[in-house]
Amino acid sequence: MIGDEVPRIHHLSAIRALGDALTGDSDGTSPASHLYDAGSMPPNMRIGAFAMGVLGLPLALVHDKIVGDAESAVTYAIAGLHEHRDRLHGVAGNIEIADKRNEEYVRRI
Amino acid sequence: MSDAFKIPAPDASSSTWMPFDQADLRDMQYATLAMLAYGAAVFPQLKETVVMTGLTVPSDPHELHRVADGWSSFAGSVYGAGRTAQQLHDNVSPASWQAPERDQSGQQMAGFVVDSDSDSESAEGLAFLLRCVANISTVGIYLRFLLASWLVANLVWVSLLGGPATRFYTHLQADWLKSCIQDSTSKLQAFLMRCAVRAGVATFAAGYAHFGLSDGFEPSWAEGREGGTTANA
Repeated sequence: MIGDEVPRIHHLSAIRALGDALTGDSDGTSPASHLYDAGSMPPNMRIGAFAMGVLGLPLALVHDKIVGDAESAVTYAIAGLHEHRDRLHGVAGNIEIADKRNEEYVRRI
Repeated sequence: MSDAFKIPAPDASSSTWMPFDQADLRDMQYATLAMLAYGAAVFPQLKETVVMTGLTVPSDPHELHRVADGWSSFAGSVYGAGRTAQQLHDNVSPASWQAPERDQSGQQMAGFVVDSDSDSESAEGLAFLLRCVANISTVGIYLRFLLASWLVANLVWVSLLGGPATRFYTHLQADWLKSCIQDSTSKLQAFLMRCAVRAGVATFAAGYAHFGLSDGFEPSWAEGREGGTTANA
């Protein structure tokens, strides 16, 4: 960040636990499970073109388009959460590797 | 007219006949009469039977209410996803993880929360719009039902009572026909104006739903962001 004076306290299990909790399927309250619930929209969510009458045609068409956009947005968000989990695990792995190297250097010294 | 003068035709050797020489406007008069009869008597009935029934395609308000329920549940799930992600990040004690990576992760979580909040607001607005449309169509259905029952009650009244009531009803019917023929043009104009206004309102609502409610749902949401959110797939 600024320099080496910044206290670097790394609790690797906490970092990995955060990453697993973001996408964990065992616990029902993870953000990814919320998004899975949102992404599985009720069946026949796309109303037809004439569901609001002939004059409501543009509104019905736009609604169907918005349904598709929302589904793709939820899919993107779930992929982003998985990517964030991978990033957190990568951070934890990097910290572990750095600690091992430091221990090795200390032993050599 | 034929005796007054004749316009010299350029190719006068072939024929000297000119239109309107006989001063016979009967075809045009018949055509005009047919046009007037069509506009006064035929077209209003055609409008009543074809255009009105074509434009009032029955739509089920329960369908719209069900879709609005789906959007409400969608909004709740997305809002819960953002809040849960923020709580998960905040529950990790700062004592166990102090690093630039924590700040970066917190920023990404904040961006995720902001996006999920805007998405849930858009979904709630869409659900509200759909509920408004469904309630308006429900009111229209009940109004049409009341009008039909009134007409049927009048018919029953007229058929049960004979004599003066029937004469009175015949007089009313003739008066109504007269006014219908007289005001058909203005009624048609008003009908077309109403149709134009309704189409404009529908187009405006569609534009509002497209540009005002689907900010977060656009596919460019996840592609155009540069590391701001976690949604960079």
